[in-house]
Amino acid sequence: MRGIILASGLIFLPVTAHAQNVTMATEASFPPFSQTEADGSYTGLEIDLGNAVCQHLGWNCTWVQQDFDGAIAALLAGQFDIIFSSMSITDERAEVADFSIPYYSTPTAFFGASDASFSPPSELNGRTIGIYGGSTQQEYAEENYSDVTLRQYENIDQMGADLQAGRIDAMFVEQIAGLNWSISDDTTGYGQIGEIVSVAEFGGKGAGAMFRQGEDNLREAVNGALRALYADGTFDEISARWLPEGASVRADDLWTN
Amino acid sequence: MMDIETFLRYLPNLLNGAWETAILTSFTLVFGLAIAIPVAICRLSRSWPLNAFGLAFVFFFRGAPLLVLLFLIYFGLADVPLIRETWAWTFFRDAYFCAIIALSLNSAGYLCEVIAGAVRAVPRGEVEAATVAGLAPIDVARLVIIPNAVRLGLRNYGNEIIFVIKGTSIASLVTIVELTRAANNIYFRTFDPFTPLIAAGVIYFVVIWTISRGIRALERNLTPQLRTQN
Amino acid sequence: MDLSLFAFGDTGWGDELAFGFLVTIAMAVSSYAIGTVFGLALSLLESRHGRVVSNLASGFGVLFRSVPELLVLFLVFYGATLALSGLLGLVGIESSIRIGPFAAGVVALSMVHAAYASEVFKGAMIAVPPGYLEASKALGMSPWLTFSKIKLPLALRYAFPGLTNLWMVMIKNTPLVSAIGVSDLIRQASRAGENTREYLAFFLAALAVYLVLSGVSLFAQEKGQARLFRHVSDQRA
Repeated sequence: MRGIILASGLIFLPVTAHAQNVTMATEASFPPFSQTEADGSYTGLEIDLGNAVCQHLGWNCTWVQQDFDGAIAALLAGQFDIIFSSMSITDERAEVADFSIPYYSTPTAFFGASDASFSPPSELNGRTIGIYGGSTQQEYAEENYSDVTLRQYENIDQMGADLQAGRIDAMFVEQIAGLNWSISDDTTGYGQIGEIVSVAEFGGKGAGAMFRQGEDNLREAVNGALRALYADGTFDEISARWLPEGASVRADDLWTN
Repeated sequence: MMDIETFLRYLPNLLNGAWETAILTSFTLVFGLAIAIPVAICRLSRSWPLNAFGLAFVFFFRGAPLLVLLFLIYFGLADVPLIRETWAWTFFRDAYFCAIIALSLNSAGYLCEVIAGAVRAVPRGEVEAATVAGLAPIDVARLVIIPNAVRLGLRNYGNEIIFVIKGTSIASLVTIVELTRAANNIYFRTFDPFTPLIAAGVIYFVVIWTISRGIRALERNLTPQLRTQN
Repeated sequence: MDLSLFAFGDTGWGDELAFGFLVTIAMAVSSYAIGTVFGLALSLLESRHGRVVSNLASGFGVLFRSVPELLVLFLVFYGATLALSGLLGLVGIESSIRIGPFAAGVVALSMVHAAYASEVFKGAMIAVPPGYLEASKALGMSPWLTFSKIKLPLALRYAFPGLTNLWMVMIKNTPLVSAIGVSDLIRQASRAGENTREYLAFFLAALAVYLVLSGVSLFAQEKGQARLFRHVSDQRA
């Protein structure tokens, strides 16, 4: 009997933290950070960055798709090792899991019809706003905007479709992702509206990779890799591939040490 | 497994969700019945085009998964200019409307068979006796067929109510915060899956158990001859 | 409708949808097989054993018939890995077994299916004419022999219509697994719709697939029923 238990322990060993096989979660529908191509593969800034981290560390990484709203829960439940999916660093989240140093940061903005008759955030009363379920935007909007109806979405394409269909008046998302959505041919007449909510106003910690508590080896390794990729120009090279010219999402000004 | 503090703190959210579930269920039961009765009449009719329509309706709405029906109505119809650019859009832009329509059509697919089956099960002799006794067709329907059919179909109708309640949980996938979504949201906030999801499960269970008990009591009440059994 | 949307290869979504279809079928078949066996076991536990076991078995059935499938899916997907590592932790094993979305989907759908299948089996056991059982007893057959050679084969026949109905229910429940991230037909169709903004085309295609599946199942049900009951039906009266 003991033999069987030991043997089954061995079978499952390769997925523990110390191994070279690492599973990373991506939402795969938040361009330009992550998206799914017609051939089923995942691409985007975060996918390239994540792959560069793995290559730097000599890890054998596998991506799994995970909707944003359940991502932290699924991480805690052991469904994968790292969330690499535009996860903003907050104190509340840091209580249940550990973050890497931030690897990108972008303000949050409103997107709607360019000829919208209202200017958020000051004229939001009675409006319906789309947000990601479980996002920092949801939390921020719940705390700061009263008399607003919030609708939760699992990805920006569904949110955008509902914006164009008139089911919501605006979406409240990370600026770069919103801009990326609004530059497509299908979205003429839609763009950024009102005022930006700056990174500082938002808590100002950027987005980081997320780990279960106690997996310090993984976290330290990723931190080291991120610093190296920032230093040797790989990060800028990757962002140039995915961002509009001149835009930057560098987060090294947020690093405390 | 259950954390009492989390449970009490978020109980209002769960109750709000349960209230939304109740609203979705009530509308669906009304609309479902309103759609099912004419279709059931088609199914019972001797005219073949009507009968074929009834059959096609049943095949389509029983064969289509509820979730697919909902996504088709919510996301798919938004692409159709005839809907998007006309008065119809005032209805279809609303997530509740879409969910209730999908649920009602799905429910009607089953319900019309429940109704048709119950009418078919009314003993022929009783109908013939009433006709021979000189009752007008409308009175035969009103006094003989309908009361009998209600009694005979009650149990199946009760089951259908339960399927509707369970079915409303899919409305959570088109931005409606009903009971299942409310529980999930609490989970995403607290990272404790067991407390909110089990609590929601208990609420569903209690409601459904009560309804099935109630239906059974009603059935006994309406069917005195059953009371002597057992 | 632009048919190139459904092309196979790197430009169209045909191959992704086909993959999703296979996942849907795999999900339905494995959940159905596991759930049916489990359902039969439940019905036997409910009818043959002591009160505690019997009540537990019937409680399981009542519970899983009263809770939405979606909620069961979420509970299994989010909770099962935690619960499992907690349980193994109690006996001192540190586990890192993951119950992925597909496995969680199979567990959840098969439990729900088992809850309904046990009702079908219970009804089917009752439907076996008592005369057969009395006859085999009179012939001196052991209880096990009576069960395995007479009661079960007949009960399976009577269970056939109910079980095939449940197969169609299973097909219609599989799209729910897309909510926990399984790349089934519906999830693939949604993804294609999001990328191309052609929701209508992809959901209509998915709907057509489900209607065909359900039509084929109905046809098979009628054929199967006619075949299975060719010696039974007239003896039942």
